[in-house]
Formats: sequence, C-alpha cells, structure tokens
Amino acid sequence: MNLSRAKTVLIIAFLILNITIAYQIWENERVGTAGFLGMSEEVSRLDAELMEANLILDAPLPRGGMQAAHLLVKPWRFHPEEIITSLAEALSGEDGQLPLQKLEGGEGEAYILGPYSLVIKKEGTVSLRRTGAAETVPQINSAEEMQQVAEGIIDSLGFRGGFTYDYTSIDGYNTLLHYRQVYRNLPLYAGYLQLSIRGEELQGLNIYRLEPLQFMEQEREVIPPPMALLRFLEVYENDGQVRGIVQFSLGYYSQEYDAEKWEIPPVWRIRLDSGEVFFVNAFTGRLES
Amino acid sequence: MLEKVKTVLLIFLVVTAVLLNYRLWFGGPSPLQEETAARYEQAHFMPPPSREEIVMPAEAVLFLDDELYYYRRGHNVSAFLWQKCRQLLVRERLEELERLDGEDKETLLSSVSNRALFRFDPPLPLQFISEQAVNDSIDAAVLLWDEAGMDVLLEWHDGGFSVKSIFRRDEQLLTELVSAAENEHLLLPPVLELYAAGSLPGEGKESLPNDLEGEMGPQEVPGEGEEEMDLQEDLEDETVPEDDEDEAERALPDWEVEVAGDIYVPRDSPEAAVLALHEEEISNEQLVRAFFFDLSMARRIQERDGALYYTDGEKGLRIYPSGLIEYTAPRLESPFSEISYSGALVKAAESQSLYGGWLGGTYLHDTRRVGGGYRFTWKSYHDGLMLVGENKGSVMLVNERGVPFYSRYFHFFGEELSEYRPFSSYEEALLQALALHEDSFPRQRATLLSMKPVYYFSMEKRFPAAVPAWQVELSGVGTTYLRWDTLEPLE
Repeated sequence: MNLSRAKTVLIIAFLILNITIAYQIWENERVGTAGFLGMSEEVSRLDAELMEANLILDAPLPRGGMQAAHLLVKPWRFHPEEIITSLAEALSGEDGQLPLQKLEGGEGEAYILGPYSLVIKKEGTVSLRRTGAAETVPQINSAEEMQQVAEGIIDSLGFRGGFTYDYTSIDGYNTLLHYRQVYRNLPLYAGYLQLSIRGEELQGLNIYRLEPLQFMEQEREVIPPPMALLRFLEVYENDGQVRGIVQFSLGYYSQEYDAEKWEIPPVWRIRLDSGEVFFVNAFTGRLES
Repeated sequence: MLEKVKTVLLIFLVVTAVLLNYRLWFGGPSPLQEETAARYEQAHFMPPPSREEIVMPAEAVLFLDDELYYYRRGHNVSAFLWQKCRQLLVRERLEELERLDGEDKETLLSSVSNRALFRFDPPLPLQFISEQAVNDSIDAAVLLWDEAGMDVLLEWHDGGFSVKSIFRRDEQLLTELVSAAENEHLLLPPVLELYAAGSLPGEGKESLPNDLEGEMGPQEVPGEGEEEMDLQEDLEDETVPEDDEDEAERALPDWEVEVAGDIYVPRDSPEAAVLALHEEEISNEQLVRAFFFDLSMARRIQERDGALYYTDGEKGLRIYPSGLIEYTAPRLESPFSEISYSGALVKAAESQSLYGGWLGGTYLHDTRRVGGGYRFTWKSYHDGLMLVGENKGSVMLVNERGVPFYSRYFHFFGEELSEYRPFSSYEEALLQALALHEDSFPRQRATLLSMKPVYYFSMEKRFPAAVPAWQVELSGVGTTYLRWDTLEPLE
C-alpha cells in the first residue's frame, strides 16, 4: 500500500469516526446528559441525593432538550344547574330522584343531594362528598374492574369530554381514580376529575376543568429532568420512609384561580408511590404550590 | 498538490477527532449545574440619580437679617439653594469637624444674623455629599455667614452638633443665595390666640397672634436668634391693626392654639389653581421585564376586576386598571435586617429607577426602619406642594436580600382646571379646622402639629385632579384637608 492510499483510508476512517462522535455528542446534549465521565459523576451525585432523601427512582427519566411555552387557559364556564341535574340523574337509583336542598352561607354554592353534599366554588371547582353511611357492597379487587366502574359513572354524568385516565391510588377503603385533561397530546394536570369509589358506589367526586386557548409565542428550553429532580430534592421533606418515584413526566399545571384567563407553565410532574404528587416548574425549577 | 490537500485534510480530521473525543468524554457545561441561561436585558427605565440627589431637603430656609424666606421640597429654589450649598460642602471636605454642645450651638447661632438652613427629613447620610465624612446621617445643615467668614453647622441624626469654620467668604455663593430670596414666610409663635368671625367689634373673620411682650415673653425657638424677635414684631405689626390693639387686649380669644415645633406659613397668600392629573403610562412589557428579567419566566393572569397579575411562582406583580402597581416577593422577606441606612437608600434609588423610573417631581418623602429592613416612601410635588391622597406615590421595602414589596401610583400634573385664586389665610384655615372639630376641644384649646399647603388628590367630574388645600394636623383629631379657596373640607 502506498502512502497516498493510506492517507485516503485514514481520511475516510477519521471522517466516519468524527461523524459518529458528533452524533453521539448531539444526542447527549439533546437528552440533557453530560460527557461519559461527567455523566457518571452527575449520575453518582443524583443517586447520592436520592439516597439521602430516601427516594428510589422507579421510573425512567424522560429526554430533555425540549422547547415549550406558557399555555393560555380560561376557566370552564358552566351553569351549576347543569351539573346538579347531571349528578342528580346519575346518582338517582331505582328509588327515584334524589332530594335536593340548597344550603345558605359558606363558600360558593352548597347543596345537599340525597346522601351527598355538593359544593360549587366560584373559581369553578365542583366537589361532591358522600355524607351518609356507605352501603355494603361487594369488594372489587381488579384495577381494570374499578376503572370500568369509574368510567361507567363518568359516562352517566355526561361530562367525559377532555378527560383521560391518569392513574389509580388507594385511600383507605376507597379507590381514587384520577383523570386529567389533555391539550395537543400534552397532559394538562391543572384540569382534573377525581373519583373516589368503594365497591361500585361513588363516595366522592372532584372536578376542575380548564379551557385551553393557545400556547404563547415565546418558547424556551425546559430544564433537563435530572436538574428538575435535583431542584425537587432540595425542597423535598422526607418523613424517614423510603419512597419510590413512580412517574416523572412533562405537562402543564397551575393552581386554581378565580380569574378571566391566565398562563400556565410547563412542569415536570413527580409522582411518588405514596400518592404524593409534586410539580416542578420546567422553566424555573421551582416547586409549584 | 493532491497529496498536500490530503495531508492537510487528514491533520484537520485527526485534530477534530481529538477535540470531539474530549467533548464526548468530559462533556460541555453540566445540565445539573448550569441553569437555563436567563436572558438579562437592559431593564432600567432611567439611570438612578446621583447619590447626592437621593435625599433632598424637606425645607430650605433663608434668614437674611430680619427677613425669612422659606421653600419646601420640590420648589425649584429649594433645589437651587441646596445645590449651591452642597457644592460648598463637597469642596470644603467635611473633615476635622469640631463637636459642639447645645450651649455653644446657641451662641454660634445668636452671633450670626444670616444663614441658610436645610432640614432633612428623611436624614441625609453625610457620605452622600462627602467621601471623607463619617458614616452618619444629618438632620440639618446650616450655612452661617457674617463679615468675618462662614461656618457650616451640622445637626447629626443622633442629636449632636458639629461645626466647621470657613475663614474665606464665598462671595459668589452668598450673592446667589441672597438673590434667590423671594418667598417670604412667617414662623408661627409657640402659642396662637385666634378670634373667630364676629367676636371682635367691627371685624369679620379675624385672628390675632398672642401678645408677645405680655403673656408669652420673648419667643424662644431652637436654633433661632434675634431675628425671630424681629420676626414676631413684624408679625405683630402686620396682623394687629394699631387701632385695635387695646380692644384686642381686652377681648378673650376664642381659641388658644399651642404650636408644636417650627411651622412656617406664607406671609402673602400664594395663588394656586386646581390642576389636572394624568396617570403615569408605563409599558407593561418593560415593567414585567424589570421585575422578572426574562419575559418567558413570568406568566400572566388576567383577573376578573381587570387587573393583570404576573408571577413566576416566587414573586408577583399586579397592575390594577387604575394604574396602581403592586409587587411582592415574599421569599425576600426577612425578619431581621442588618442593611445600613445609606446602603438601603442606594439600593432603593437603584430599584426605583429599575421599577418604573425616578420621575421628575418625585422625591423621597419618608423612611422608616422596620423589622425587615427600611421602608421608603416617594411622593409627587408641584411647585413645592406635595400631592397627598390615598395610595399616591410609591412605597418600597428594602433589605439585604432585595425588594420584598413595592407599590407605585404616580400622576403627572397637567393643565389648570380652575382660575388661579389665592390661598385663604392660615388663620382662617386654622379656625375652620378647629370649628370642624369643635367637639373634640371643649376648652377651646388645641395643639397644632403641622400646617402646610398641599395638593389634594380628588376626582373632579370623574377625572383625577390636584386641588390646592391647607393640610392642618391637630393633636387628637388627625389631619384635615381644606380646599384652598373656600376652606370646604376635602375627603
């Protein structure tokens, strides 16, 4: 082999090598990880911080490097009568229509609907609680069965639109089924529908629905998931028990406001196996209340 | 030639491979350490004022032989006089000050008949006008002069006095000071005896000062000398017609008013008119950028009352439909603060320039030490008269960590909405204020805490306006505002 041919082979080899390395670097930066050595240091640091906080990462961290903007929303406008009618019809059994009584005073509009108390606040939250004793019902163990029961109730209520199943948790004897809103394939955690069910009987219901209007123009990069996790660990107060992080996902969240319309930020949602849910602002890294 | 190109290309690729490998192994900036880069932009509405302009004197008083000229903060002559004297103080480098006790101070004041008094409320850190000065604040600076020379007397905020003698007169400065004298005032005596309308034969609304020679004896005013006696004689000459003197001595006054402190009132009633007020217009975007640096960090909430609320989760900025701006950053609050007064002042001045700008005609009006730092208040002034009214001006809380609270509601003075008319006399205004609170003073005796002309914020035909008014503060009943021409109570 002459020198000229050797040079050609080397040029091709280095070109392929450089392209491969450049692609790897680009991929690393896209998902928000550092170099191999730096990454191992950061992984160790994150592990150490998680261990100190008695947390175990049971869910994969999503890729970072995404752009996002605030989402403009306004509250869902509804007539309380519509909600009351839907609930009364859905909850009335074969015995006939549930008696309805409006309560005076207190925050928002309060009603007694048969064995339930119903509160509709002016910012748009609807809260139904069973006040009477629960009837004896057969135990349903399967999560799928519980979800079927819940969806049957939701369908009978008639305001299914916009909510999608999120996750299930247990609260004492009750099973809590969490539904959330979706906007353009992104979770809108700020809008929720939660059902508390014992057996086949509805124990409670919370609804808060938003009307997404548009994404704001100004986009910026969200903080990488490892950084969001570290910022969360800075403020997380553990009670000494070991917990698992069962979900780490990007979505939109804000507290409920009594306002015309508002912008809500992208958040990293951190869900623990204890049922606790935390939202870390994906722009600032601060914990959203 | 081709071989040379191959060689260069190969070398380039080898070097590139080394650099890429380094980046691959050691990485770029760590995503765990590097915050998403904040996009800082120039957000100041206007540059902060120089340190010597942060605190301006609340009042400037020229004592020239028998005459007394008085200017409040916001009057252009007040600023002119202070600028001239400040230049002298800067030039004289306030070092080696001689400490004085109260007796020495009185002796010094009584020995000189001409002086310019600048009273500071809030106090002025001396560092702001002299780098050599000690880290302390003054409540007053007095320039005294006679044929022999000049002295600078400083009244410290802790109550002490210091003097520095300047043996060569600055003739140009003194000429400028004397030529500015044009707003003659009176110093109210310690006790005023007022006669209500019709209480003296042949008089309408009339009032008389007390009998200085008889009941009170010589008037003693802290920091004043013989000229106060002359002043009282002028007062007596001017307000008590000679023909009525005997009659006045026989009549019992309707009101006896004790005057707390030095209260200056105009000798000739100044003319004033109702002025239109225009809301300050600030670009919301620029304002949000000033508070949050990066617009994309702040999210907007449009409230039902029309207010806009911006927040990044830690701090909030609310812009009301009226134009009132309120900013809170609870995480910056601190129960204890070690920030110095001068440090807090500088930080407040910079923040005021950042958060909307330091407007012309607005002056620092009040400072208070609070648990978590210092609370500063700015007010708008026009021709030396302060605009008063609820929520008017600007309030800022400052500590080492920053600005936990800020509010701002400024107006610009505009065109006249009424004819120019003279202020009612101070006696008439005081009698009216006393009459309004007659039930609170069954013995017809009261204590006057302060009295001055101001502009009162009012809605005239649904438009904001500044109504000239007498502000009368009486002990036990608070502050009363009286329309300048009719003396109708405002509020």
